[in-house]
Amino acid sequence: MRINWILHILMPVSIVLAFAWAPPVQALGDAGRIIFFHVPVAIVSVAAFLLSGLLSILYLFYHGERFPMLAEKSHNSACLGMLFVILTVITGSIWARISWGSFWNWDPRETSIVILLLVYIAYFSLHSALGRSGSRDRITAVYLIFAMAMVPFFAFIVPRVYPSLHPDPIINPDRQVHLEERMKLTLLASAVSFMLLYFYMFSIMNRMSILKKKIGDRHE
Amino acid sequence: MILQRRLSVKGGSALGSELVRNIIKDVRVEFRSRSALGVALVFAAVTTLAVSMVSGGVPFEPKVQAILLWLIMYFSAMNGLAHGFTREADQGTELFLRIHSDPDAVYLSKLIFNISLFMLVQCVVTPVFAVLMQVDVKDTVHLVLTVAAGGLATASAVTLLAAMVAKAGGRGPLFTVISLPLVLPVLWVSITATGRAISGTAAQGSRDLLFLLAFSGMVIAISFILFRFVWLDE
Amino acid sequence: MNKTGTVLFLTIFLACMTAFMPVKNFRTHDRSSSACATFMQVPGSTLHAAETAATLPSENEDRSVPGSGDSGISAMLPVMAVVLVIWFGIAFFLFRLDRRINSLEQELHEE
Repeated sequence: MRINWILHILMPVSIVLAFAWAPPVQALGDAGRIIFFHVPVAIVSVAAFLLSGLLSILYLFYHGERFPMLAEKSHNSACLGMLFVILTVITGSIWARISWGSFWNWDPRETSIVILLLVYIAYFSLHSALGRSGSRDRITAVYLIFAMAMVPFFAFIVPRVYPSLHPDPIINPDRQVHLEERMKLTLLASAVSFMLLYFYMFSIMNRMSILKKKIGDRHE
Repeated sequence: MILQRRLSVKGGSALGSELVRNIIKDVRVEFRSRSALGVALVFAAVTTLAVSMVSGGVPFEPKVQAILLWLIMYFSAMNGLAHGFTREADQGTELFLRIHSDPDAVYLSKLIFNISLFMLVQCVVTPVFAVLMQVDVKDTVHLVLTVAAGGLATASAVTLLAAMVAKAGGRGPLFTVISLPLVLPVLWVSITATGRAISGTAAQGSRDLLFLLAFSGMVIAISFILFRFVWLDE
Repeated sequence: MNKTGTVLFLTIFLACMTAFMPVKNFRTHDRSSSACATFMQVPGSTLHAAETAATLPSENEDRSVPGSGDSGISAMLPVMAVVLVIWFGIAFFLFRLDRRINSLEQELHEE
């Protein structure tokens, strides 16, 4: 798989760029380098959630043969999204401790990511409570779509309407993008690396689901 | 099968008459035992009494009073609002309802039932809370509107989730767990707006009310579309 | 993963990046009347200090923040080395997993 090799080259490159090439953030110093890990992981966690919601919509409304195993793919995306959301919360807390002195401040963006984490936890609780029920895939798909319709509302609108401790006032005091060129490029490289990592892990999980299904069909 | 709708010679009035019939049935069954309403009210009363007793009659800040009020209402709702669907599953009437009624009518009747139930709980809990916790309400109209809007938003959000929980066996804290992330923003806004109504600083109150009403509308619309996927078996 | 899924994911990802990147937003500066001000735990002085630091563009090096100058890069080298080691461990694990799945797929295909 070609994506495999791009990832294995790009990720170490973006790690080196983040620590050795990008300049430190003005007010935060070297601690600001966490931006190159926290922001991409946050983006991937929300994107994974939206993708699992979209796959759920396809699962419920599309009855063709072109997209097989949509329910399993949606579940795999949710699993990865959960992992990335946990990483976002951890890296965000560490950064909050360094920048603002306490691990958790209920800043609107922090609140939005906690709501996303709770949605994932609720999804997995529902998934396990439904067990091997025939309607499990359908009901969990409905829950994801329901959550997907509401969570971006809080993730996008609330942080824009209410003021935030998040670094926009520090990095962008006049609401323009104020990252230096090197930082922009490093952030872009890091974001693409994490996207590729998610993509790669997602494809591995999908292949495993297909294998499981084939083996299950053979046993039957 | 899922996307087919039952055609009626009379068109839309069939949905209306089914809706009314289901609501009357739910109300009659509920008032035979009053279990959902009773559990919710008893829970609210006990919690309010306990908090009032422990506080020793000293009034809290408006913000704290708003938080306590909404926590009591939310958890008493969690005891009662899933009942609409779980009772159908327990009594074995679910299959009959599925065959007999259009999913849209079932959803709307359960929604109206849940909203009414929650509003009734709020009508009882809010004055009792205000009296026992010595709440000095500066803007009563705004408080009533906020509590009503918050109740509408909460009840709308949990109706579809109650149907899911009924399918999953409906036991234990599953309902609370799956509804918490989706109701948390509603609680956040409701608590803030209620705190402002109590302290009389409701300058931005209309924005919060608008948010709650918009949220209710969106949730009802999405639940209406998705309900048949939960309710009907393929 | 097929092409449609790829395009779909890329579109969502780019949309999220655009939304989350620190670009123009339409937030107001009226913090005092916001709902959030009622339960923000961090004292206003911390935010004020951060804003003050951001509005001094002539001060390129903030000496009170450790590692903000060029000499700080040597302090980052051990951190970078640790992160690279962790990454190579994860990459090796993923690579082995990929190879095993490939062989399983071939086995099933042959049968």
